[in-house]
Amino acid sequence: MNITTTISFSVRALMKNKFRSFLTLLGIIFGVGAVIMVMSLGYGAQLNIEERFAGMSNNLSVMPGSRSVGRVSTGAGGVNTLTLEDALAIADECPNISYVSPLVSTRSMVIYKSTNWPTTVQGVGSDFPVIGDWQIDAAKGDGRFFSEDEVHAGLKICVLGAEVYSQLFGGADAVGEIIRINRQPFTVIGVLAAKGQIGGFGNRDDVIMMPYTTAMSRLLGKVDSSINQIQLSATSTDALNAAIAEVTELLRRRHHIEASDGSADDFTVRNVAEVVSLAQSSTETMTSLLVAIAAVSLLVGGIGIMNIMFASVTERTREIGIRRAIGAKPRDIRLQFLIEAVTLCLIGGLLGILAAVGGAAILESVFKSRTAIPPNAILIAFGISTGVGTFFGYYPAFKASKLNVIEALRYE
Amino acid sequence: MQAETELIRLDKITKNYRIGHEWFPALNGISHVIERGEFVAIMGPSGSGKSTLMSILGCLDGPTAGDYFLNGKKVSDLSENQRTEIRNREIGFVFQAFNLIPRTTTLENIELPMLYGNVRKKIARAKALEKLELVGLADKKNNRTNQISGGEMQRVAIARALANDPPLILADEPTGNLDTKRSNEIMDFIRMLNREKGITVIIVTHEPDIGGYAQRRIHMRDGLIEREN
Repeated sequence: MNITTTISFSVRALMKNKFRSFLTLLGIIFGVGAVIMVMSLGYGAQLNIEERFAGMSNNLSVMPGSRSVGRVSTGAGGVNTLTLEDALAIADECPNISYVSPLVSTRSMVIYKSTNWPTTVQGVGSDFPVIGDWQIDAAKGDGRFFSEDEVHAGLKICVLGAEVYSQLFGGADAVGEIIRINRQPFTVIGVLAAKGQIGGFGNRDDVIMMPYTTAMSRLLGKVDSSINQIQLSATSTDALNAAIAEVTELLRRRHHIEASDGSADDFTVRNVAEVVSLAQSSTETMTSLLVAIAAVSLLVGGIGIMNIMFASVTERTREIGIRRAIGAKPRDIRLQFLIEAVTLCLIGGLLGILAAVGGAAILESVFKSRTAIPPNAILIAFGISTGVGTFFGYYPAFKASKLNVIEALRYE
Repeated sequence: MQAETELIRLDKITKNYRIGHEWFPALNGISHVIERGEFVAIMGPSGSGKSTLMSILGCLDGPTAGDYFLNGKKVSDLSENQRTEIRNREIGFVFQAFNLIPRTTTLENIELPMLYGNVRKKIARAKALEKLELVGLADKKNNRTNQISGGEMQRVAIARALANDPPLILADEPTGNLDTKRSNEIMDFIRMLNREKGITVIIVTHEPDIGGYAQRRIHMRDGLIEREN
């Protein structure tokens, strides 16, 4: 018997019990749907990370580390071991570094007319937009970022993040307006293009940037020159390792740390690419965990298939006997029931993809989680459907093929 | 030329069934020959072994001991797959309960043995229609098997038995579920197949009237052939 005839027998057997077939399908629909939906959550998070760090693959950041005095460690960030002079020295002495910006940051209340808004104020250098891939939003006034000269002059000027702009100004023109930060007036010279809100990373547009000189003297009132971070950009991705070595060597020298006598560094150089791969691997771990949980529902669906196939075999015992009597080999019977199970699962898989698309849309609109159906989802869905159908359909089909012909013919 | 005239040769066929821990003999060493073109009735009370003999003749089951030759081939020690091929090609079955596949059309039922015998779908369809015409039901070709009468069902079953043009038809109480008028129609038709198409027919029955259609009656008792007439 050829395969197309067997398939048509199987499909028709399913059509005869539409409602029962549908109920059985539900198990597979939910199983495949849950697996694909979870994968789309993971894939969405993956895309988020990629976009968040797009154009920043050359970046390094230097964070303060812990300082040990004897056996007492202050803990990371416990002491501000990084200084403005460190940042300037890196700019002067490291050939593999193309851009440098110190970074200080504080929370402040910002007021414009009668509106106020608490936000993060970052003091940065003029290289910062290049390092962090920030653009000026030309649609919101004829703005610009501050220049190196303006940084040196310590002018009371600032650039608004998109979120701060919309909270304070709505849609009005902001460039040239005066806002108050900690009761001091600052002139707005530009509005940044939105980077968009990304789940898990906070809203990066809720920020105000000003020259670090201004931030340190006017807002932080610093008596020393300690800073929170140094942001760096290497000349190329290939130069990253050389850049890390240069920066580390320079800072050790400046901080009088002898690596040879076992002293620990009081700073940490972080490679953005490493941060990305760390974030991605943790997303992957989370996704596989969730997929494993979703797969349990697939298992339950598969058991449903097995159950219904056993019922179907018992119900059609006599039909099996007739077929066997007039020339169906055990193999023909086995194939017929196996194809029935696999067909059920494939239809379930197809509907499962649709369910996943719907579920993902709900996740996005209700929970604001970014989702994206992975491009190989259809392949995966059909793969697991066929797998489940074959695995759970085989035993009932095998039982059907082993029925005793004479007893099956007498079965009432 | 003995081999060309005989269709069936049974040589000391025995069959035992196990019920619980006890072995129960159903056939006790039957030797018999049926020639080509014969019309034979196997008769006897229930428990006489006639159903068991029918199962063995129909290659639905193998004997415990003894040899069975069908159409020149020794079929008593074949595997299940090989027996299935013999059933498909050499034997047409007609059952008491018609045994059509439910919720399929008459034509599809007749196609089935051909499809299992790897006949191409198009050819199978044409031949099935031919057989349906032979039993006079060409106008019911698209009817489902639950939409026709009992007499018609048995005629479809006969058409299905003829699908692969087997040399032998085995009919197990073919009129057991029919009234007298339909019974006679069916038996007339089976006799016509035997006389005009030269098909060997073996029927199992306990009704003397039906047995009367056959040229030869084998009476069974306690797993042996008691007498024949």
